[in-house]
Amino acid sequence: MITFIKNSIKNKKFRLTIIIFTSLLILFSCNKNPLGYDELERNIPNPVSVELKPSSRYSYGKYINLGSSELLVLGRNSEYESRILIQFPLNESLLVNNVNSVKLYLYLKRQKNISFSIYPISKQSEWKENYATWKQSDENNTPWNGGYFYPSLLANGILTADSCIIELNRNLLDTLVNHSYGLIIIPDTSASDFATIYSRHTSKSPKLVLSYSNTTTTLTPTQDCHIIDTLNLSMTFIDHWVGSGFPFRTILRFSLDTIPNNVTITNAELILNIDHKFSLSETLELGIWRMLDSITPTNFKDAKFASSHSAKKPYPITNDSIKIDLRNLVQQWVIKPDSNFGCLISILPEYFEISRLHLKIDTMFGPRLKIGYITPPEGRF
Amino acid sequence: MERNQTIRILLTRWSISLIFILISNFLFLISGIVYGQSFFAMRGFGEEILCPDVHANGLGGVISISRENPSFPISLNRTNFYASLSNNIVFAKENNWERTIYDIRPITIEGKIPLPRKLRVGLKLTEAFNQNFNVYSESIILAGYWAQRHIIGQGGIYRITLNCAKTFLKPDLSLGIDYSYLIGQEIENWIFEIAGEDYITRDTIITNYSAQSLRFGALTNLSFLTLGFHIEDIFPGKIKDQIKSHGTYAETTFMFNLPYAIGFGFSINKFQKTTLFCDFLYKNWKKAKIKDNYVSNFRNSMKYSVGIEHWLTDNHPLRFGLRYYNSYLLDHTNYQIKEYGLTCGSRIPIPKFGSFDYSLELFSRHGRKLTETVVRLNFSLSYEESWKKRTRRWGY
Repeated sequence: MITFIKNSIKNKKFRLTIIIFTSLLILFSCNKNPLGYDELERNIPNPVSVELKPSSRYSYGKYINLGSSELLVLGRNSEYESRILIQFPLNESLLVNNVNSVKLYLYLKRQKNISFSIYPISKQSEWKENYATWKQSDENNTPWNGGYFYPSLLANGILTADSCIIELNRNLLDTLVNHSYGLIIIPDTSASDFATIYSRHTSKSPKLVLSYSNTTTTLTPTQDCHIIDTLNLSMTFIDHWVGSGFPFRTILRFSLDTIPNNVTITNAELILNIDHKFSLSETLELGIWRMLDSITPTNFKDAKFASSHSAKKPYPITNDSIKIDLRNLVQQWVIKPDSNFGCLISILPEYFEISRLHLKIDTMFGPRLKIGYITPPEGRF
Repeated sequence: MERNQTIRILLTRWSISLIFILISNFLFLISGIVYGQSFFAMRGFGEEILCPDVHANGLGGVISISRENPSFPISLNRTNFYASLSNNIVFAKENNWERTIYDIRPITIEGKIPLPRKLRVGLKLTEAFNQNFNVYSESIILAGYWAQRHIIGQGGIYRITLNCAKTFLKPDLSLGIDYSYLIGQEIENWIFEIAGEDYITRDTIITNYSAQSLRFGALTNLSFLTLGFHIEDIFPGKIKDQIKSHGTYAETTFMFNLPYAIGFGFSINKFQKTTLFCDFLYKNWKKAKIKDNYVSNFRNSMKYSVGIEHWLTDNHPLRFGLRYYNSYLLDHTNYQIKEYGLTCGSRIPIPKFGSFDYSLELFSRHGRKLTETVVRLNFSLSYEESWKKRTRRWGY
């Protein structure tokens, strides 16, 4: 028997037959014809598609700290004003020799003609990069309204080129070193646009160069951030905005009561139509965050949301609508209906430059969630 | 002294049996990896494995005078181990579609040991129902993609059988009884596949079966005539359905009753070197119950077999057979599925070991629209203990 098998394997015709036979088997078995499918005697569920409108929606704006941003925004228009705070490690030893000049170097990403003024921040305002906003200077919510500074003008100028060199008033160097807590760059009221400057978190960090008779000393900031406030922007309860810089957030909740909890979500698409948009960049990124608290008209501004986003989608500013895939989030809500507190929509990251999108909320073009799902198959019997 | 020796021999035999059972479990486990099917295997309890005995398969499936009869063989002088393997090539046609599926899987493994007083006991593991299938739906647009539902079922129902038989009247009558524990599992994966082998959804259904049965058999030699008879009743069993769908889990348990089966057959050994066989099997599937209800689309099944075995020499038989079987299943158009089969087979003796049997079954199984042409090549290896010289062929 074994000899017969060995001889067969050695035989070329036999090997060829085996190869042809195997190839034919693979060829026929690999096809995906719907043959025999009708013999499944099950109630085979068809995919179901539903389109939901939000059962509740809220929107609000909030001051946030922008210290993590890689770009510092300086400028002003009819709706926003953005100021820059920078602190350098200045101390008495720098003043031992005569300082010939003090120059501030700023490197621009977005170049716009912005006229500005620089003032020393008052010593009492010990602002913290990771807490400072337009309204507060530190983690203790110490109030300041756009930064407290001495009215002594360190410099003024216009941002025009790739890098901007501003010579500071040498006579105020003592104030800057001994009596202030960094400097603040304030756009002039005549400004009508925004420039972006690389922050200390990049390789093109701002720097302060002190020139002596023979040497120079270059300092990089220990802290920098920008603070933004809105001007003449009033958001009513019918407005639903998302934005960054001064972030606007919109919370939407869709009632999924009509969807059984054992279905498989095949697709879930949040569709947002944009009514009005403002952005310094050509592309934004929208993020969706799962809400962790139930939302009421009184608590929506303080309601918690998940620490990581559930979905995100780039949005070219030229588009008038955006579709975001929420399949995983909706699947989670369907399995655990108690966890469906809605989702928060924001720009990702919220400290990114300045942008604002107005969402349409009317019946026809308002936010909607298109869901496709499949009910699970029935058992064999 | 003699008693001790007998006990030692018995212990040795049972150890070998245990090893065989362990090997068989392993083989059945790996058989789940290879999936092939009948395209009708998703209906009811699946494809019935009518005759796991390769010898009988070559004769058209003469169950009553085969290892499927608890009283087989009429007398057993030596310990015997037996294992069979089945290779299936199913070529199916429906409308203008064609598909071929191939699979190979073990069908049975068995050990039988003679005891004093012409008693014998045996242990067997057999596949009773094959529930392997693999089908695709037509393409539909799902989540913006062209997708096909792909349903893969793997598993079946198996029997673990304890056999006891005794020979009476100068080895001319044998009576036997089988106690079987039916156990099974089928795992179905319902997948929506898109191009590139990626998938959108995946749901899983797991069906577990358990039941018990008793089978009684009788086999007798009357001059040139051998008569066989067997009857089986399956006690109410339990089915547990589990549906897993995206983190949700639903489980239902319910009872089922499989039908009783009755079969008889005979062989005539009046001609020199040639034996004729006839066999009939009936199962009253109309009385099968699921969830306490009769299953309206089950029909009583019947199998008729005729076969002929001609011994070319003392050690080389040739076997031919014909089979007709109307299945217990209706297809989706309510047409009872039928099988017409042509079989042949032979044996190669293996000195100082036993024998190697093989059979080829060619049959056509068809519903109203779907037809399957099945080529089934079965192999079996039989080990016969060599401490006692063989004196006659078993039962045939």
